[in-house]
Amino acid sequence: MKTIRIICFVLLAFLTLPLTPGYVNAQHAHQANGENLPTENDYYELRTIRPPEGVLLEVSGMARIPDGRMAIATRRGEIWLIENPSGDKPWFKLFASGLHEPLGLAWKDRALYTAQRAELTRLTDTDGDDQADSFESICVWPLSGNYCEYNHGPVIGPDGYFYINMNLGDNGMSNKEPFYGEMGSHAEWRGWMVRVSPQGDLKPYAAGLRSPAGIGLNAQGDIFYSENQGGWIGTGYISHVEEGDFFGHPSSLKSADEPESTVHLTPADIPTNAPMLHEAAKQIPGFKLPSVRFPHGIMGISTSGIIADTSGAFGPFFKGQVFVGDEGHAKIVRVFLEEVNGAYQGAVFGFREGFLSGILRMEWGADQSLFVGMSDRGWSSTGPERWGLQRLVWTGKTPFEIKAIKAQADGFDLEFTLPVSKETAENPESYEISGFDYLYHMTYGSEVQDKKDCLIKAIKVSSDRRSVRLVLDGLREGYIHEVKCTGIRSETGGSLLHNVGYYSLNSLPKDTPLDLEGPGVLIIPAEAPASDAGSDPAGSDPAGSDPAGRATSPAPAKKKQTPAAKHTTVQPASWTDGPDRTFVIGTEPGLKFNIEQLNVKPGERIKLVFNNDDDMQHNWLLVSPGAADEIGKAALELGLEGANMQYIPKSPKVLYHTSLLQPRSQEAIYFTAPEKEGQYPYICTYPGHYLIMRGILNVKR
Amino acid sequence: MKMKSLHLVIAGMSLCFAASGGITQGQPPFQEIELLNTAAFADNPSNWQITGDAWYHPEKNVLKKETGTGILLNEPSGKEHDPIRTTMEHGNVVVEFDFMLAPGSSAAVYLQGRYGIALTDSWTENVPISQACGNIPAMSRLTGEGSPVVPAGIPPRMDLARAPGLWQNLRVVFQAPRFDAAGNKTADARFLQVLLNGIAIHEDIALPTINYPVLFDKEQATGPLVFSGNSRIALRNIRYHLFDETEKEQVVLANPIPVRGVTPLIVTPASKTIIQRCFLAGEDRKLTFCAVVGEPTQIHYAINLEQGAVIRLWKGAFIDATTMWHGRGDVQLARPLGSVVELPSQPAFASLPDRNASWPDSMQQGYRFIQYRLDKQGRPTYNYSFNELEFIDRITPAEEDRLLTRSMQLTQGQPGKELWVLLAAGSRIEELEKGLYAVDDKKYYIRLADTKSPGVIHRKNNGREELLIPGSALNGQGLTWSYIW
Repeated sequence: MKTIRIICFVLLAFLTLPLTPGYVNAQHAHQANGENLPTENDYYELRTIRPPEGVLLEVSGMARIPDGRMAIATRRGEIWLIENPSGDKPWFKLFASGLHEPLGLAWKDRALYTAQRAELTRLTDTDGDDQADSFESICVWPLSGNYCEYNHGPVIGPDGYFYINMNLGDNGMSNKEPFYGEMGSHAEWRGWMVRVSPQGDLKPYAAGLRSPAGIGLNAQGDIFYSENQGGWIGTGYISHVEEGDFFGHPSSLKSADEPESTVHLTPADIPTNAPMLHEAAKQIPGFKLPSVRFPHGIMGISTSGIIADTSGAFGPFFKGQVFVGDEGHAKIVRVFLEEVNGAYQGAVFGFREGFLSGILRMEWGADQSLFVGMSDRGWSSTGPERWGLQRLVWTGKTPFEIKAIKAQADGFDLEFTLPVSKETAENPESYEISGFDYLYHMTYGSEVQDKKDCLIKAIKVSSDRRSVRLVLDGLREGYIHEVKCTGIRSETGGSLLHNVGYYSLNSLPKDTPLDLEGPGVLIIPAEAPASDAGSDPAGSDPAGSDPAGRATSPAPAKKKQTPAAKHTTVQPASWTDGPDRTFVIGTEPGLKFNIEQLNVKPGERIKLVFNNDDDMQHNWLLVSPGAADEIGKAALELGLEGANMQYIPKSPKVLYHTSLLQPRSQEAIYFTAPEKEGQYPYICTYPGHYLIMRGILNVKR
Repeated sequence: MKMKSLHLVIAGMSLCFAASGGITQGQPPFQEIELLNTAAFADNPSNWQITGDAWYHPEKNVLKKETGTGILLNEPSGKEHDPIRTTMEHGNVVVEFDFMLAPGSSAAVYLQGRYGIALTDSWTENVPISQACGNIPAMSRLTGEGSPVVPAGIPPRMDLARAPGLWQNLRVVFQAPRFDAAGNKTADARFLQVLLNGIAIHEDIALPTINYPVLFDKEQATGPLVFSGNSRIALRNIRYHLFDETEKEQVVLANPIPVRGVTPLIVTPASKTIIQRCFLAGEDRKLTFCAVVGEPTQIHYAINLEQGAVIRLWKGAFIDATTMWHGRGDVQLARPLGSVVELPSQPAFASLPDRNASWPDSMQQGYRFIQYRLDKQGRPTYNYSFNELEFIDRITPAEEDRLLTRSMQLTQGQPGKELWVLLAAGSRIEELEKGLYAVDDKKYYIRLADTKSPGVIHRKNNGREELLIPGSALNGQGLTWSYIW
């Protein structure tokens, strides 16, 4: 039996070899390492498509045309047709130009459809020269003219209607909508998903959207949208959308009293005492918990395009799963969805990082590779370029991954893409499982709330070793559950390519619990509760996160400050004649400090005012010379603790820092300049920002 | 199309709206040169006279004038074509005035009577840019001085000339040459800034020598303001302000820079027409359903598709899209370059219960913008419906790209008596001859193609004037009119 499998592997490798030039190199790398350390590139390779000189491909929409060509919309309003897009020399032809920031593209009945700023447009080439000559306004909608009133879509639903997400407007620097927060609805249906008939009739569909940068269908053809963290949205997510759903952002309710409204709530229905999201969902009639939430900073920071793998293009093991782009982190995450008690929920996993720029849109090519379109203009991303077009190609090899996490009445069923080693799978130390939630409040984002570990009561490994049933204590409905499989190895000793998934347990299934007396069930004896407090290295006190406490202090608490010497917000009493120097440093759009050089003398007493005049959260850290990347990465790797620790890693190389500042807030810190001359980087360590948001404090005599 | 409630207009948004209204610039304390008589001028050449309203026909050799004051008019003849000079003498000066040219006029203004800017009619004929209105004519050689000589003149950055018979505006910031105690020149005279019809056509041009050696042959610290006498021109609102060094920063008007420190993203039609969808600044809110249409021949317009209304006309460079395409594009406005004529954004057609009813501010129920289609040149034809009626609307450059002609035609339905088309609206509309109208104190013309056009109504309504034509004119070949500026 064993020999047959080996032969099969060799055969498979041989077959895929000519198609995948990177394959040989990847193998070499493996052998050179001497260890079986897989990389994402071994399984999913990136190929870059370069447009002709002078073409700026800030990709904002993609649609595959039945003849195999790929249509690409750009943020500056062009539409390109790419012939032979997967070939060595793709041919670019300008199909249309002069559109107003189209943010989606769909093909239907020999025409391209796109949502411009003010309308849904049908573009047709009526004389066969591959240039659009008819631009029909299918539907026009009101706008205030705010730049943030983006329209994402359309996606054509199974009913043939066009579904479009209407982004809220940016409320700017003023605090003029104290209840609604930094994003507002300044024209009808802003903050809604709308549905437009082929005849152009617009109907509101669902409300409570904030910055819904992606819209797509899952494998079953149901409509999903992706949401971005901010005010009222504790963390990003994707969710199934049905008529009449309300997702939480109250600004959209300004249109709720229109006769056609499908959501019948008023701002008075919105709790203002900062409950956790699962609590808010119970209080607000018709509130829909998002299908799958993506913990902020871990599973990306800004969700965008959504696409399902309906054919197994990324391998048969992922057939039916959904892939979601991220603009800020230039990566794609993978989502497993299941229906529990009539609603979708599921888990999100890491999938592929390292794209050229912030991802906005994805589309399958005729050759089953995934076209990934990028632009991070205005927001910046961890990618090295500001825009791009790449293809993601499966190499034919099977990555060792947690294929799925399925909810059970008493725990989870983990499925793997390859058989697991029984020894590691039956070891409870291989897993770390905990539940947590985020706040529902006007404040931008949220810290992780009420995080508690789950204890493993029993483990049952399936006979084919491709799934592991975990029976858990402490499972909580409505919470996100982190499922870490750090210790799991494959049958051949391989590590998981990504060893953690986050399951949004919106609803507990009602199926029968596992019979603990049954065959193959390994009962784990309860341990002494010594490990209970160990889940929070930042030292947060579980008692401090009780509902009453949260209700009174929804703003990011300063209780978890790192030692005061690094973060002094009151002028030291000994500075009787004030600071030697005062700096006021602000931000510029696109993740920048407005001052990138500061000059001081060794030992000078510095007052630094960090004025976060941006519309996202930032902090300011002064670090040791050469330590910017190290500290930035360390902040990224804080995982779930990141938000609670204000993304400030514990390191002697962090010299001084501010708190994590809310948009449009400021803080002054006091510190003494280092005695040693040198160039001390200052950075923002909000996940991913450190790559570009930085400056230098020059210490010189 | 239904444009229902805007929840609120964003406070502070008005900051986005750079005023680009009138072409008069306005400034700190100006001295007015009174044109009640010619007392402000040194001699009284008989070819110059003070009149009331004046108008040159844009094509014919016709001058209409009224007796009165306020306008200085030159009617040169073969014998009498002297320049006119002010008694005022100036060093550093800001000068501003309105001027009107006759077809083929080739006049000039001379700072200190020495340094000239050509005021030529470059609208009527397609002239090279070197001869366009606002060019600085070639410097002439001075005798014996050995001064540096600039062999050719300096063209304006773009041709912003308006049609003959329309009021134009010139604003010059002039820095006088400087001399030491011995009378040796230590610094050249400079045109620090020249704005024609509100747009900079020259900045910081050194004038190593004089280019009008008729009155004076030497450079000096002061001199009069002079207008050439050889060509037909009308002048009004002549104002000046003598400034000293400390005021230099203020009198040179800042060029609008959309995003400081960023390479401007300028859109230029190359070989085909460009239609770019965009937001445009309106009076009190952004107009969000607009397009700007640019021609390689530098004649452009903006249309508010919400109203079927042409709302901007301009020539020269097309648009600056920096605030749309840089960063997030938070200002998000297309900024027409060149000198813009703004037209009111009101519905192109409406149903009126009677001929005295007010014209609506926005399109009535039943209006829908259907589409635009591009021809091979890339020029759009717009398509609207209004209840059971359907229209096509085509706006194309005509007469060698000097003006825009608009044709609106019904393709479906029969218009009732209550349907009207709005040809023009403004503070003042003058019928200059049959079918030719000047709008807003001769800012632009509207000309009907068919002068026998049926039933034009010129009416006053709510303190302004309107030009209406019955919807039946859209039948058959439709209604054709031109925007001339």
